[in-house]
Amino acid sequence: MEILLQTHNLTKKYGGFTALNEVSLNLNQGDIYGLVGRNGAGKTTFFKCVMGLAKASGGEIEINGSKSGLDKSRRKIGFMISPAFFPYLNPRQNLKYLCRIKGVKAKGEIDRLLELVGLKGVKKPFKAFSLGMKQRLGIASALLGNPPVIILDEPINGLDPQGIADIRALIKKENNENGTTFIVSSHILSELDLVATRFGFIEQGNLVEQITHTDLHEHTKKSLIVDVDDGQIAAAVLKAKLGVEELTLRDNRLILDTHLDQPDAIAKALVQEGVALYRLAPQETTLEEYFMKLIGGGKHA
Amino acid sequence: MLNYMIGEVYRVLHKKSLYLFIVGFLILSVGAIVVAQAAGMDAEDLLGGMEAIFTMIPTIIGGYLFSAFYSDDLNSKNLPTVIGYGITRPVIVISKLLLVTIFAGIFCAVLPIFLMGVLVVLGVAQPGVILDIAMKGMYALSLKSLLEIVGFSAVAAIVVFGFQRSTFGVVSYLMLALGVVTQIASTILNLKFVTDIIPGLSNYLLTNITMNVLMAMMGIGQLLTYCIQFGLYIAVATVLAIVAFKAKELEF
Repeated sequence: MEILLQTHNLTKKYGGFTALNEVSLNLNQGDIYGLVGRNGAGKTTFFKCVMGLAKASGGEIEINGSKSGLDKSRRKIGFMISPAFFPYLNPRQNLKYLCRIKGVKAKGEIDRLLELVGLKGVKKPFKAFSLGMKQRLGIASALLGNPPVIILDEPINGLDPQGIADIRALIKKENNENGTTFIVSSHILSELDLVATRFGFIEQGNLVEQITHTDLHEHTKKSLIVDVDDGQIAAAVLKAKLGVEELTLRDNRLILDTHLDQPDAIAKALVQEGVALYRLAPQETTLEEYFMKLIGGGKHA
Repeated sequence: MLNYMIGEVYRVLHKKSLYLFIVGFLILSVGAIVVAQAAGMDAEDLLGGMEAIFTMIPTIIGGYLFSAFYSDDLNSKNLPTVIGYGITRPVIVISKLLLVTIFAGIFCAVLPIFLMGVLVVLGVAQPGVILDIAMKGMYALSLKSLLEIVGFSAVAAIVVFGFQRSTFGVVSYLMLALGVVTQIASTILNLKFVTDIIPGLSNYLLTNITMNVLMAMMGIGQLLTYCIQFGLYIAVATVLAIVAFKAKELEF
């Protein structure tokens, strides 16, 4: 799989404060990469360094396999770090301005984007926009010229539920239809979970983990915890009576990923065979719990 | 660079205030001529009085253009977008100065024709030799105004990009255009202990150089020398602005 963007030990320091600490992240073609972290964890700083808006204190950035000529390579990356536009221009004029700067000449591009983000026909100037409209225009500007890679920093900030769903659908559509690769940051993991295919967890400037969506859900799936006096016998009983083929046995604790809806049958089978049942309870690690476990704290992601 | 300049031209041409400002300035100029004529000033006095209009150009028109090209990006926090698109900092600094020069140049080229037209329409002056001489004089004043706008913009750009605060930039420009900086600098450079070390330094202040250019155009002094001095001013100021821009983290 082709790596479109890679950082090698990327570090950014502001005086004595380390905003990014040797972050090595790779973005594969076709990814919707969710960069998750609390406010101030280093997500925006990471994007700033990647886009050349802040000078890295250390490490390297590689775009399309090249560490040199980054200014030129960056022209192929669309981004929205914070939606900033000229207040006196309307959305069409603001996008036209950006088209000219970026050298985008495709006819109908502005209409396509305005329709895509639901701003077609909006004539009022940017200064009269709501936060949600600003976010939408920011996303349109990131999509300008069909860049192969798009960076979106907190794109759902300030959006209503419908707006969030729209942005999610838009990202999926661009990813599916045009093969656009996204790196999207948010501190709302549950939202990213609905769209991302890979995740990176960042905390206090450190990239704590990179994980695929599938692996993340392996870690967070529901299970049944069964504590008994003899795990071996209990496992045999459940296999014989209920057909439980797959379970994890840790000492005298059984962890079942199947038969989640049959706790009564499990209890009955074990008790009937004389197994002492100490505990039978469902367990689920939520995405938030997983994240908090990763960062080693009890603060919200 | 060309793409960036085209984008900037598009943006500024879509500012309604640009047209209001220029039309406002022209109406004021016409109003001043009409009032002066009504007060009984003759053609010679009126032509001489044109200088007052030209002295306002660096402050009013230059101030507006400086604000439009340098401050809007900072106020709207658009600079990160531009840099993220791969436009380098030196290109931004040089492009903005070129754009101010072009816009101010167009204004300074058109203004003398407009004013002469007004004088002719009002019957103050008739086409002929006197008018031709007056026209040349106006163009010389216009060129001086243009050089001041370019010079002040180049110098104030150091503050704009160094601090990335639009207010600082505009205030710096206005202090230069209103002569506050020149007065302070002249006072300092003419202090005895300064002149004892390096005499005549105040001759190299930007305002004095533009005045020298004007005089040279009238046949007094070496035009080339003053043009080189002016060019050096611009070059050094531009380099300093680029260095300041590179040294300062972008404000979001």
